[in-house]
Amino acid sequence: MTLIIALISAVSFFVLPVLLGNFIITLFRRRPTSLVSSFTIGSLAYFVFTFLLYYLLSSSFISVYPLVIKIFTPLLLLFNLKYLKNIKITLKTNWLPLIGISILASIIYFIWRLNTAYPLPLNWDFFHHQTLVNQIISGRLSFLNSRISDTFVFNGYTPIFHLLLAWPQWLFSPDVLQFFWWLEFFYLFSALTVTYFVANHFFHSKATAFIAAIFSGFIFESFIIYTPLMLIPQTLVALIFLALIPQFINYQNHHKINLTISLIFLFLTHFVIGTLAVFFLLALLFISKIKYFRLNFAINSLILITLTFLALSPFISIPIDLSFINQGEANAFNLSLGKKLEYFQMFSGFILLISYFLGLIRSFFRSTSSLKFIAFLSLASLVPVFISIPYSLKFYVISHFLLSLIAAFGFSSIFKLIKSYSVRCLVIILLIFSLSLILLSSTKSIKNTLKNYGYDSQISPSELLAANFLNSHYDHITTLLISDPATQQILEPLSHLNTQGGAYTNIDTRNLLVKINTSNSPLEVYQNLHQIQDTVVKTKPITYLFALSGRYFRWQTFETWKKQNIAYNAWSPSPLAFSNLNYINWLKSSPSFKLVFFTPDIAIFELQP
Amino acid sequence: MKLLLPIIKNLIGLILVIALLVVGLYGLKPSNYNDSVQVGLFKFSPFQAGFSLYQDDSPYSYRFSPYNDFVIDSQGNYSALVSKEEIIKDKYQYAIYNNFFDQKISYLLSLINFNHPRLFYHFGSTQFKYSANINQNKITLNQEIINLPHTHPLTATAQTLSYYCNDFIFDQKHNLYTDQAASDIDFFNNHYNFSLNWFNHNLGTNADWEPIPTNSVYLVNHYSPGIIKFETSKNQQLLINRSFCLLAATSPTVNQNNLSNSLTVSLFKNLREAGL
Repeated sequence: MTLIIALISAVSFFVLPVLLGNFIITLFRRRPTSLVSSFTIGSLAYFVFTFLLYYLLSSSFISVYPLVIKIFTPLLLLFNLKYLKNIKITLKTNWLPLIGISILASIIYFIWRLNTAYPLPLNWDFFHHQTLVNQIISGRLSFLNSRISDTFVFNGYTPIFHLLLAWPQWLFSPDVLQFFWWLEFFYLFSALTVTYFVANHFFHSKATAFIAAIFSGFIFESFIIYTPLMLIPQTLVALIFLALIPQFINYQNHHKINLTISLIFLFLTHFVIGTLAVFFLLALLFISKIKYFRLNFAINSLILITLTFLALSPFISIPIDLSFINQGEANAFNLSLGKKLEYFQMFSGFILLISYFLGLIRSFFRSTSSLKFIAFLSLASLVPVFISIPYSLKFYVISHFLLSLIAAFGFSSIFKLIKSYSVRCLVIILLIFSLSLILLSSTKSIKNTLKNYGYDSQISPSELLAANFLNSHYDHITTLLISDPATQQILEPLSHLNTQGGAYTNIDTRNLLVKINTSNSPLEVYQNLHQIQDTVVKTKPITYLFALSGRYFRWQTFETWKKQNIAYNAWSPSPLAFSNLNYINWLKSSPSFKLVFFTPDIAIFELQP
Repeated sequence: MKLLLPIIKNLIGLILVIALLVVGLYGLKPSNYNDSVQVGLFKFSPFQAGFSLYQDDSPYSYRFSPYNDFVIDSQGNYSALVSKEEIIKDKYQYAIYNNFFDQKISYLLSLINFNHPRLFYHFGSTQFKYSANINQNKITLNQEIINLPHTHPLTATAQTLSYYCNDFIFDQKHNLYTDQAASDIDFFNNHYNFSLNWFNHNLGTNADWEPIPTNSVYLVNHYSPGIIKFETSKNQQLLINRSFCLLAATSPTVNQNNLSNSLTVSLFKNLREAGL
């Protein structure tokens, strides 16, 4: 039953905003445009509506709002029943590609989840996003995430993404790990589907569209970018951006309001990536206005100009000090050109690169203006990626789908030489096999830091047990849980208990943890622990918990500068070593520490008043 | 000709696709951890000094190194495979792969879990070849020594594992072979509901290499989780060197110019899983 609830909740993440969007479009008697418009309009309306009610209801928000959601959502469903006919038609006309995409998505997800037991996560960011969702569900909301939880130290986006995650959780209260497991599968499925339909829109070839879906699914950027296997704000923006491209190229005046709302949605979901997406979409709109007879010339010129910019981009260094972002984490992500190219080779070998260049050449010389748009856009999207600033590799999230489209166009220049159906099938199988090896390789690099006993994940079953224990035994508001940053990160969202910053714990707490490690008496440890304070929740906790996991002790063996840096964590769980047990025994001997939970992987102490 | 043309086109298309995919895979840059294999709680990797068992973020690693391995001759002399001087001069060339293609293919095979880590050392006609077969949590390490110069006939060859001198090393009967603080033994016994007995003074020899009267021992590090079981087969002997903190499995020599040996280590999460 929990599996079905999780599945329904995951589907709801995508469907509920669409239902609300349809309702609003009909309410204002506007012409329906597309699913993506409905999704963005619905999401934005829900975001505004939630904030309005939050400020109107004030303290009663926490009790009234879930009720509003529970009453309003079934009504939305009823209202949308008349659109079922449209869905039936879409399924009837596209059943074959959709089956193909489902098989592709299943293969990719299977490879990704290989050696990771259901429903354990592989997405580190899931933990802090869920922490924020928990805070929203417990009645804390703000336009700035850093005011909701001290896990967010940099306001890169509004909580619109988290509100979308909270909606199904308010409705169905799913098991969050299972919910997220399915959610990421449906995100992957959506990414492949959107790639397929956008590619088909431009190439008018189902085979090329399918190849584009293969490229976009199997090529996984396992560092910083994370498309298309992880659902985070930036990857959601990239998907919506891709889905909006055809509408911006074929812009019509009656789409104005819908598309404006979509742009606002992109911006609110991720201030940086969203702004870039908005900029590119507006550029497309502007270029598409150029008179037809000059269009091809204009785009070809733009492609050449962009190529020049791309060649120069590695030498462009923006003189703004961004190292403050995320407590200096940005410094760890300021990569040289060589390193960036190395990562591309890790993500895709030469397959994407060769196919992409074939596609670029083909679109430059022989294609329609709309295809030239995509070629130009794909090139332009690479310019910010190669600029020398921290996190610039993140911008590739926008390029991912565009490069897949052009690479598919390039690959199909060879593919179309083959007329035999069976040889074409063989080629597709060979392509999938080769890309599977590449996917295995890129997943290997991310999973290598998550290797645990018999499975790969950031969390162990013992830690899950600990989270459940904490959730059921301690008050969510008055308890403060303390451990190393990684243990805090994984326990906070699953136990619903507060920690100081999760993995983004501040320098004061880090220094106190360093001090605790060298404390000579349990009393000294006790006093240091009591100095740790949450920076958002100002009320003093009543209960302090101290979690000592295998990874806590591993983290304590790091050099001090690493312990002070949020880029370094003990990413994977591990059991307690003999000396760790000795330390636990030492604390246990003090009346100030009461051992309340113990497994071979983690011990939790409650500090006695 | 008209009939042949589509076939030729199909063939050209197929060849081009295969060429693109081969070149594409050739360009695949292996992840930084390409040679490591996860075995239980440990990672197993080849390095210049031999194979190593280690854990992320931990300074402790257990090494199977040709620099520690030795042979025994008919006079009872123990001689290292590589002398101290040869180590300092870096005399032996080492390689993890036979050649470039071997490296590429090994990496691609490792992606589908065909892990077969190897190490090659050579100097002149002398060669040491090490290969590991990994099956779940068990590693079988094979050693082959070709054309090792010797003055007296060789009677045995030994493969070693270096441990940390303060590790708990005990056998199935709970006999403890390393020095430990009494308080640590008490805590170990109490916590794991175990009964370690001192045995290290009962080995009956003061030699560097002392035989252990069993065919398997368990290692527990004070600071790293997990248990390593070091196992020898029936025709082998298990030795311990407590000065240099080494365990060895010795095998009788069959062919003087082509010596071979193998040992097995199994890695467990805890004592219960190790069957203790």
